[in-house]
Amino acid sequence: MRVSPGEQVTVKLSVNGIVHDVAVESRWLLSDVLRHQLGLTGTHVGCENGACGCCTVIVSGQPARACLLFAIQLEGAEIETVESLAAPDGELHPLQESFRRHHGLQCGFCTPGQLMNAKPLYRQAPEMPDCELRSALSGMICRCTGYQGIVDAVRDAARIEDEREDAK
Amino acid sequence: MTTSFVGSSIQRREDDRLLRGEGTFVDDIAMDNTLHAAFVRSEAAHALITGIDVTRALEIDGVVAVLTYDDLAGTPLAAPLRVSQPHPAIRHARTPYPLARDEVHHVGQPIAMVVARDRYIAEDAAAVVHVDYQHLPVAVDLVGAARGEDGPAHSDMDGNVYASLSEHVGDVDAVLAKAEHVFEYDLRYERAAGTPLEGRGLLATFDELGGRMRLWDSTQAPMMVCHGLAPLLGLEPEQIEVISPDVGGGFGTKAFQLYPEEALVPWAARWLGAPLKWIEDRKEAFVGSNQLRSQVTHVKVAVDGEGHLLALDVRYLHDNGAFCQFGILVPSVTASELSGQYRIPNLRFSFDAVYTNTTQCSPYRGSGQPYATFVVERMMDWVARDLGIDRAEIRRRNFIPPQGMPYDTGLSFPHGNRSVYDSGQYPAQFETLLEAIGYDGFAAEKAAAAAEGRRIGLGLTCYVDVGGTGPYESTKVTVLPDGSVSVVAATSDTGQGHETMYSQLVADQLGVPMERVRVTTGDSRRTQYGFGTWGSRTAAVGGSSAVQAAATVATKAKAIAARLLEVDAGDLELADGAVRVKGAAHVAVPLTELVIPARFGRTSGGESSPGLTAASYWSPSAMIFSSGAHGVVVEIDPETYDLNILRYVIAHDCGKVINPMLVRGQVLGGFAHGIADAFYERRHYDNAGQLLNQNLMGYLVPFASEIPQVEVRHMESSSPVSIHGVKGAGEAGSVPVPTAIASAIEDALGFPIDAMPQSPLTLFELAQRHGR
Ligand code: FES
Ligand code: FES
Repeated sequence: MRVSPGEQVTVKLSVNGIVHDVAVESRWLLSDVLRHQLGLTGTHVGCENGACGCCTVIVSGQPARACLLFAIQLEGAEIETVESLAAPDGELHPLQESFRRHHGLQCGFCTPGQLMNAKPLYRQAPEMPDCELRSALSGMICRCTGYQGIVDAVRDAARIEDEREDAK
Repeated sequence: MTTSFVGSSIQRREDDRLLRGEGTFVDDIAMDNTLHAAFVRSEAAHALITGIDVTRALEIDGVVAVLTYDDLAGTPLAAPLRVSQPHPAIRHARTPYPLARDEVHHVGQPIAMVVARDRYIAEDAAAVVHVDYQHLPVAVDLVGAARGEDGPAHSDMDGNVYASLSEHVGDVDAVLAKAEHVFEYDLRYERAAGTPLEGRGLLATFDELGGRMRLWDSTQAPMMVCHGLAPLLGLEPEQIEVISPDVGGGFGTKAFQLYPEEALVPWAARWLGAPLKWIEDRKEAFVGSNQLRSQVTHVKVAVDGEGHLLALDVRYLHDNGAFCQFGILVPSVTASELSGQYRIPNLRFSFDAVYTNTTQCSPYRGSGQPYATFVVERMMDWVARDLGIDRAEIRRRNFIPPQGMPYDTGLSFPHGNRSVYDSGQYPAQFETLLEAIGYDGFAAEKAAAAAEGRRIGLGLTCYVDVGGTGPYESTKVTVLPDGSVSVVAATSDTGQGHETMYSQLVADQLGVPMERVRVTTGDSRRTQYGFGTWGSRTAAVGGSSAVQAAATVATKAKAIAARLLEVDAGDLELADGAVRVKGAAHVAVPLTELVIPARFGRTSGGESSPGLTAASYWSPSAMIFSSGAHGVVVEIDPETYDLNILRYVIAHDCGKVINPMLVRGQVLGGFAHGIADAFYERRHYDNAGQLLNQNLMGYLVPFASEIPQVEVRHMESSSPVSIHGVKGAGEAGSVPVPTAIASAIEDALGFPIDAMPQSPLTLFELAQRHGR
């Protein structure tokens, strides 16, 4: 497919299980399309050059920086954003609950990215030594919390999840 | 009173929406037909603009307008922005034109504003605006600029010093002349910046029919922005609605007024008749958002043979970048804390505030305080070394004792009260620290490490941190017809959890559940007079005004209930959403039933004003100072000079604590900024005034992997100044950290660390120079 500058083409984007037909220009970033075309403003933008991690979403199972992807590349991919984390009945995801309990957020600007980055790894976190967990979370800037609350939250999320399962 | 929320770690009310991705940051607000701005910024640090060609930009489809200085002629925006913190010591005030007129003074200064259908197009157009420069001499190095060897940064000035200030207590010269020991030291601190993760952002829309400007602004100071904008827009402040929605961090960077974009975007929205949005990108933030920290100091100190401080003379240069919209605020804050935690009977400071061709400076977390701590506490280590006294012992000999409180340092605080410490337990706090960090056993630990070829060192520092800066803050508390309570505070939240904090304070005063309290902050539609969030002031000053307003509402409620219940108001208390007789809870009247009698105030008699509502503009009568002591053990890799923090202890006293979880969050967040300031973050300018690290790949904001765990020990010296004993915790975590790290590196490597920040490279170079 050849797309000229300024031309809009329609792509099928699967976001949080819903397939959207979105008209995009070839240079539009996934972060912009999620935010401004689909209205999913939970994905934030802190640098637009892949350095801060704010815009992290999950693309086909792996955390990815939405500011480093063009929306036009992503037909057929499964994209998950922070808006997909809470249960349909509104109950917070164990990771979200854990961030709340451990004061893992202040301004909340980095939080959606932190949550999506931690999603594939929080089940392993309880076994990880502190330095290993911290390096798994590195590459994600939080300018507010000093990280302790985030590290504690990621470490404790699996336990919160198990506790919930047991209570059911 | 049955409820007591103050003092407990209540979970934050802000979290739910933020965790779901349902926060509302400026860029999350969408309005139909919104236009988007991008800026053409100076690529030269100092130059005359000899031509601007916008033709190619205007040819791009989707471009609506390209504005330069000439387009602003005849409007209030054709004049330089105001100095918002004037001071008589300023001899040469220089502030930017919103769009540069003929001379640019730093890389990143706005020259033209492009407005287009979307941001992509606006940036395309900005990229093809052609600017011709005639380069002028550049001042970058602070010392060279101060001496007039570089620059001038402004071609209409002879040198670069724009203000000088000096103040003294006692007779410094006489004591220096006859003291047993006089030592002199030089110190230096380099440039960094607040770097909030969300950049600045604006969305402006003008309602022509209603004559109202609405501006969503990612700011810490919406009321100041509102009042600053009024003359530029030719509107009354009441016609300008400045709203700070969710703000993604500020750290002082957003406590400024006005940035050029803050004037231009609302003005252009009105001129164009369409909503206009500008979201700062990261590159713009690096050159266009304010920075701070560069300062060079020379210290002369007189001590007796036992190490008692007799006189201190501090001369320093302060680099304010290209302009002085905040006057001399930062170097004056440094001056106000040069007594540290110590009795210094004779004290003098003098500083020159200097322009350089770099981005403008204004407070960043701690403002001028990290310098003051660095100067005083490094000096304490060095005096101890030079006299052969233990560095803990020399501090013990000089502390202001608790019975010496309040302690007048003799210095003044800028635009406010005198620098009088209100309370504190400095000696006990220090002993707590020494015990927790393992000071006594450290010599053996160090020797053992040395035997293994490891270089470890212990660093110490004490500090004070001003919390209760005035002039006042305002809060309005109202019991609404449904019995819920509205709190409207002029301060704005940038992540601190103010909604939670204010709810705790007001719920306690009015005896209502926290869920019944709704809090609005940072919205000039709801309140006009107030300042904003900076300088660790909100909990102390804003909090006091909230308590005072709520207490007035409680008094009104009791007066009305007393009549209805035919009892004495003194026998009443507020609890469970009602006013009731103490000890006879069933004799009660719900708050909801007091709303109507209060509204018809004339019939209720005796109340000063109608309604179950009260506003407070609480002013601190004196300064409020938090305090603390930090201790750290570091290991420096002998090959790579990398820094490894083995343990870090913070002994911290911020007065009465409203929410321990939030205070801990502030302390740990500040601590991370301090680590960044010590070893990672530095804005590197070359001699041509180009910022070499203009992105987050070159400017190293630490990750979780760089920030160690910390042990925090709390003490509580209630403030006699604030209504509720609170002092303030926002900055204290960061202020002393670079000093503690410097002290520890020096102990590990054995040569003086007199400049911050350090890095593996600078340590390697220092080691070479010292033949290590
Ligand atoms: S916005 Fe994508 S990594 Fe920073
Ligand atoms: S909570 Fe503000 S950046 Fe992480």
